[in-house]
Amino acid sequence: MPDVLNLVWLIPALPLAGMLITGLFGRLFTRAGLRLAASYLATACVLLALLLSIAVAVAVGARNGLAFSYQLYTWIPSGDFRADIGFYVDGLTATMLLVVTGVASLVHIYAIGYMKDDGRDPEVIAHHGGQEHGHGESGTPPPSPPPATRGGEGGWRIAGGLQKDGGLVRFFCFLNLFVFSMLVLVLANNYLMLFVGWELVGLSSYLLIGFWYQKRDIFQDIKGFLRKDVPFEAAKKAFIVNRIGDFGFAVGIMMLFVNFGTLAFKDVFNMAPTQVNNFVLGNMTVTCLLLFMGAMGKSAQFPLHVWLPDAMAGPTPVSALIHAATMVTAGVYLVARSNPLFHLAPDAMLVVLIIGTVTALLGATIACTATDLKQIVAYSTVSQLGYMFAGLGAGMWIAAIFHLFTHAFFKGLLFLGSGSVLHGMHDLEAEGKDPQDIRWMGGLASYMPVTRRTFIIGALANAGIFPLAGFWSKDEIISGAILNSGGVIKDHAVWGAIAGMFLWVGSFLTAFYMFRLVFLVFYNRRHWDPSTVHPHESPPIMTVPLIILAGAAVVVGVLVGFPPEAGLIHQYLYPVFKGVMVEAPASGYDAARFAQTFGLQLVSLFFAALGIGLAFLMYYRPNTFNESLRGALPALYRALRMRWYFDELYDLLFVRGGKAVANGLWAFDRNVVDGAVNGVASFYAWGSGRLRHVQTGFVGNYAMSIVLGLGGVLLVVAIPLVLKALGLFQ
Amino acid sequence: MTSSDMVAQVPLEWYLLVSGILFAIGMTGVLTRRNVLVIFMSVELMMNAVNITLVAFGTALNSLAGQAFVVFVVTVAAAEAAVGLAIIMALVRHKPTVDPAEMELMKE
Amino acid sequence: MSVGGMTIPIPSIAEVVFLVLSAVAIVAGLMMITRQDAVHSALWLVVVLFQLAGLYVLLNAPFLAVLQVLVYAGAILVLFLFVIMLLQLREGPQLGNVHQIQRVAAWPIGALLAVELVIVIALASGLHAPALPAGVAMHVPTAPQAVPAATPLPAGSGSTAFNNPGGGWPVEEVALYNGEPRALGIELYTNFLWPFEIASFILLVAVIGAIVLARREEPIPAEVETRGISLARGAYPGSPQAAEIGKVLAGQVPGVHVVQRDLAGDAPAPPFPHVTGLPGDAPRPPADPPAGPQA
Repeated sequence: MPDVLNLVWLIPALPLAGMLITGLFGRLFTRAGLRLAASYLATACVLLALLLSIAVAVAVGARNGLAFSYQLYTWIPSGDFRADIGFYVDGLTATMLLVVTGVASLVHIYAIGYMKDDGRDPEVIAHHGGQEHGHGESGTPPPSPPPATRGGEGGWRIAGGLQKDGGLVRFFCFLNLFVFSMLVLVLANNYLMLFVGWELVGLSSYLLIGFWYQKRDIFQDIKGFLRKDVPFEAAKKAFIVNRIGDFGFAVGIMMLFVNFGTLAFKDVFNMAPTQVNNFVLGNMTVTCLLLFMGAMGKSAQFPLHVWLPDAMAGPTPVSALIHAATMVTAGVYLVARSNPLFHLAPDAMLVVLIIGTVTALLGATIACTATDLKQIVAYSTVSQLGYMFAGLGAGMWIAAIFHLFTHAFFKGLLFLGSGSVLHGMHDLEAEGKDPQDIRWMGGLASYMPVTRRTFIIGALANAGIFPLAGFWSKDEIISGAILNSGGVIKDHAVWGAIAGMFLWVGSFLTAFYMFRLVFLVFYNRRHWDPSTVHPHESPPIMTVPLIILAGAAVVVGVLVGFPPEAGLIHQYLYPVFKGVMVEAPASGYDAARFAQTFGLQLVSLFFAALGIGLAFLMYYRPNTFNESLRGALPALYRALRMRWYFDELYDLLFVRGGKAVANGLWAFDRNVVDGAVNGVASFYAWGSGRLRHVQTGFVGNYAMSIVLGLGGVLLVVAIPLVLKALGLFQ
Repeated sequence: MTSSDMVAQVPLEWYLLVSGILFAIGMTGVLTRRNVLVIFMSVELMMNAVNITLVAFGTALNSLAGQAFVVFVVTVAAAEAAVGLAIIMALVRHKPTVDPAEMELMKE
Repeated sequence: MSVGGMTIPIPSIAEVVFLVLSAVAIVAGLMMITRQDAVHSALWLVVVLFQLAGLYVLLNAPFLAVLQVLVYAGAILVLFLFVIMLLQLREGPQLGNVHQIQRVAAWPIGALLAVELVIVIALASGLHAPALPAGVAMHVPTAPQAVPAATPLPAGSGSTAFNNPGGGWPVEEVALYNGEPRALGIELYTNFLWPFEIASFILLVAVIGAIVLARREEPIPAEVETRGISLARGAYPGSPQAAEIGKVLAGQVPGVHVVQRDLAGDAPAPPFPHVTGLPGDAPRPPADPPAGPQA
């Protein structure tokens, strides 16, 4: 049997094949009435990739962490510059492979059920309307939902035949494209190929967020405020915000090449310790920060986090796969992959730590007041990604990857659970009510038992409750930061401790908003009208992935992460981070160490329990406690509701500012640049008007000009000869 | 006295000078005359001027290539005369003039 | 011969012959381009061509001399004279200002060009260098000198590409056969075989082209030149042109003769389908307005 590592190219090739088949022959599938066959095919490709990934992960473990590099061919040989297409497989890659293909497989299965009915009846699509004037300002809710108007004045929704026909096949084509891109990103053996995957996931993210590109909905929330749901604008926002980060990333790659002369991971990492003092351009800190800029964009870190909540306009499976489990963790992967570089740039590590902590708190605070089901989970993702970066910045490399690993399961679970809830509450949409607004829900516990149970498991894992997955990974980051287990930020040890404290606050907030969500959706009182809304449990094809993920969320933490800092995953990943870690993970159970770490984790647990308790008090039953709290701190509440005014700030700074600059440049262009161009043009028009008379149309004149030219040439030859003959010129 | 002795006694430059002067004369004819037939003849004169240089150089360099070239030039000149005169015939039939300035059919 | 310390070489017979031939050629060339009558120009050109034939003899190329007389003077110039006499044309009145200026300006320019050519040829070569006696400097190429005469070159390997472009002629052999038509014949049919064949093909094409061009064209079936109306193209029914064509066809316009030909050969289609009132024309649908007074 050949070494399975030699088959590593098959892992991205399978989704690529799936994408090509569904993409190129999608119409045939649809026409033959085999829409579902296409989705089965795409799912099968990803499942096969998952099997291969498991085999590869096992093989990597058997190699004792020796990295495996596999070169397909040289992509760009150009002078000193060389870019290869090749794979680099080590523990980190294998972990990412498992996460990507594992979650992708479950999401694919789930999406078969979720998207099956996506070819929505145009009649249903067409009938929404809304009122331009919300009643929310006065605080009195409208007596009844606005009457449905067919294609109302706003024309909120354009009925699309396309969604009905090609939607499912297109969706799975894009999903496979995404999986392929993500695998390219993860498997790349050099920065350029990683960048290619990086941009490809950006593209597929764009395509999938804007999947319902014809949708232009305006929904009404419980207070009469209107919420726009326009996916293609969200797609554009995600793409453009990511460009900012990618710009930094690209510059960082260029700096790497300038300073190292190569982009291959192996060479760059080997050279890093000697090259750090020989930088031609910039230094290691700047390079790392530029790389981190890319990670900030892709992983929605402050201040580039604004795109991720909007990205929830995409289908829910997409949110689960791309915007929770895999693509947004690409930034974490990038930083972890570049660990030999970041290790040599302690200042950059500090920046990573601070950004991560700020983002963790930022996301958590906004999630506390958000009312959109998916956006709460999205802000939770932002917050958890912040935890991961804080872990990286604190030198807790393995803990960060561990958290990435567990987070993929429980956040995927939460998103898929949200999708299940939305699926069940689909009737809200027919009333023109925002189907994602949790204030329209409540009391769903008895209608969706499986969804409720799995969702609560996800929430507990996210909140970091013992012994679920989040507890082991997240709290390992916090305790590690406080104890400075990473040891990287020696000079900044105090920063780690401060960050740890803030992350505890974050833990409290996390638990609070997660259970606020749970209570408002599944308990409390019903805010929907039982005569028109008929909540129902989702079909098994959707609930089975939920159950699988819930099981994983329960056991995966303790399975791979126990005991803390010395679990299976720590042993597995240690070779990757060998060069940057203070000490190897303990091979066995170390009582003193365990007590220290576990003690700190219990503190964290206490904060989480506090958060759950507060949420229980405020939201389990209808009461006025939250109203009064809101009234006590109106400014804070408004700021949170407005998401700390980031969108407004960016609008002011970049959109308006950019417009002003562009207008100025336009005026310059029109008057100076165009003036110069037009001036040149009119000069030549004038000149050619004069020169026109040379063209007489007489053959003889043209012959004459030939002769004149010949005479001129001969003159040039003759004059020096004459001068020479006369002795005037030597 | 053999013929090669005669060659030996006339410098190459002399032939070139005669050729150059005849070439200039032919060219002047092309520029000044308005009868297309005479212009044609002037072109023939220019070609003959070039032929002299070819033969002179060939003889000077002990090569037959110059003479062979002249054979080809004469061939082409004959072909050109045949076609050119036929064109002139056709043109004159269309418009009775030999002034190239008045042959302006293609200009319209 | 020495005049005032300066040695003037006594001209040889060949030089005398050359000077006479070239002087006559130049004068005849000038005469050619200044004659008003094209026939006179042609005859002066014949004179020039004869002088050049003489120069060819002087250059040891008797075959070319014969060719010059036979082809140029005998064939091409006779062709010119035929055309001139056939067309019976003289230069017309001056057309425009531009050409008039050029006719004057071309003379000094031509003279300047001649002077420049003389200067370049004379000064760039050995004429102005008195150290080299005339007649020695020119005719002996350097390459044959470099080859010792005692070592004959094997056939097929020329000394240099330049003085033996065909590649197959040793210097000695050229010297031996030079001037004999046989040598030129061998050269043409060996080294220059392909160009020679192509040249004959060009002649063939030229003969065909000349016949095609000089052939008298078929007359256009019917054209009313004075009115600028092409009957063959027809006119839109009811338009003024249609009315005009109707008049022409009816013979109402004096001085216009309409020739009617059957273009379609066997098929007796009406030649002017858009013109009404023609014999044999199909009757128009009543919706169409009458095309002319004859309708």
